Amino acid sequence: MHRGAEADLYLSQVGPWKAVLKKRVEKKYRQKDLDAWIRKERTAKEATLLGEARKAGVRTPTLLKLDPEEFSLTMSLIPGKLARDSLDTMRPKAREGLFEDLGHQVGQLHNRGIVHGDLTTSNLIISEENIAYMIDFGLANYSIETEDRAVDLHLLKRSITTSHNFSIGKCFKALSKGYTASLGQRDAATVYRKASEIARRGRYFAIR
Amino acid sequence: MGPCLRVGATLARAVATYLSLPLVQVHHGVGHLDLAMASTKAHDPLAVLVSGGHTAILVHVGRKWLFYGETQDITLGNLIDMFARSSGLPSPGGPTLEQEALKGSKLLKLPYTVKGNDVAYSGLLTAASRMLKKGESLQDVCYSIQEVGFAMLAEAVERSLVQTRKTELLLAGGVAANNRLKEMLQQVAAEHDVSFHAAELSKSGDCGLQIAWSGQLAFRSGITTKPSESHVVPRWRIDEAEVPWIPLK
Repeated sequence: MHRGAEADLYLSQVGPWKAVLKKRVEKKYRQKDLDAWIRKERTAKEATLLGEARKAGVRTPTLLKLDPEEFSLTMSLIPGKLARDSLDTMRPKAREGLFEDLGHQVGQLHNRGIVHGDLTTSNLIISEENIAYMIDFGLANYSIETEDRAVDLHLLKRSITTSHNFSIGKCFKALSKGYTASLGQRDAATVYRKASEIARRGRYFAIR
Repeated sequence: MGPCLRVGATLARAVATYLSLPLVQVHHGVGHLDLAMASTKAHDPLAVLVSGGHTAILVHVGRKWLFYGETQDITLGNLIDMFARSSGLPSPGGPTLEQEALKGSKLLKLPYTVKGNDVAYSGLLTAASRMLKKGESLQDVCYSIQEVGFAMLAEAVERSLVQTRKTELLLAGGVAANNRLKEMLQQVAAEHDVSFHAAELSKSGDCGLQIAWSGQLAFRSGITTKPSESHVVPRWRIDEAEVPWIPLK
């Protein structure tokens, strides 16, 4: 179905439901025991954080099966398209609504002490009802650090500015509105300040 | 670092003034990259700069090298040097640590820290020192430092390669002399169908040629400085140095 930097995705089936099997592939450059340890730990951690995020009120796929010995987990399939491929063709009003809701979800996630770690438009699925689902919690972590939270916002904004050309100003405003509403004025402002500091450092830029 | 730089700068100013020669400023890390580029025929690489002063994944954009990933605390060179010194290995620490590692075989559980395209090594240093004190053999600790520390960087490099879609991988800086690191990055490059370039041993470590080569490139691009206005910059970030001589893509 898809080959990423770290894992391969396969279409699968659990009972009557369509599912996605995510398997972390072996890295030949890593010592064998180290490689197995990392893949096992990340698989287990992803499963945990997927559930934690869900409890925080974030829309994510549902974990259906976990097999750390095989470095794989199976999740429910979210019918829809990657945000990367569908944002450009959405109606502006719907898009703003989506960003406000997304900001709200990111705030909920941060509120629960979790950061996504790789929040880009390639890790968001827009469902058929125009709702955003977060996927790929492989780099997610427990953290309440401003820096880690800011990286989430920064990566998201950066992935939008570098590969989309709709009017982003209104969408970022909507995002910030949703985020502020769920995290609170003071904390949200601190995170936003940090995010612009990270942007100035010149890291995490993208080349197209 | 400041004092030794000032000695060199004083000498350079004196020679430039006495012989009425132009004085050219050079960034140490840029020098590593320029020499590595010239000696390997890499044109538009994802560059991995590993030395005492840098652990960085860089891409050339516009007139500068920009960070795609880097260490969040100490560099890979720091990690190796500090561990070698504290465990009583003879100087230079890099080659001796590599020799000891060849005799190790037991992988110890050291912290593996990759955050996106960034890495962090200070936790690894602390844990490795503690393992040694607890009675693990020096050979096994050295082996584990290399396996864990290098794999972290290799993973960050792999992520960066996938994201930037570069077709060349360049390894430069003093730690590029390490064969295990070279081997790992070569495997990453091969897996992604990317050509691998590493500066040869005589040109990867700190040397006069790196400064001379980078200096002449800068001079030809019209970069000079007045002796009276020149000063040393021990913490000059590589993404703040102008590198207009590398052609735009």
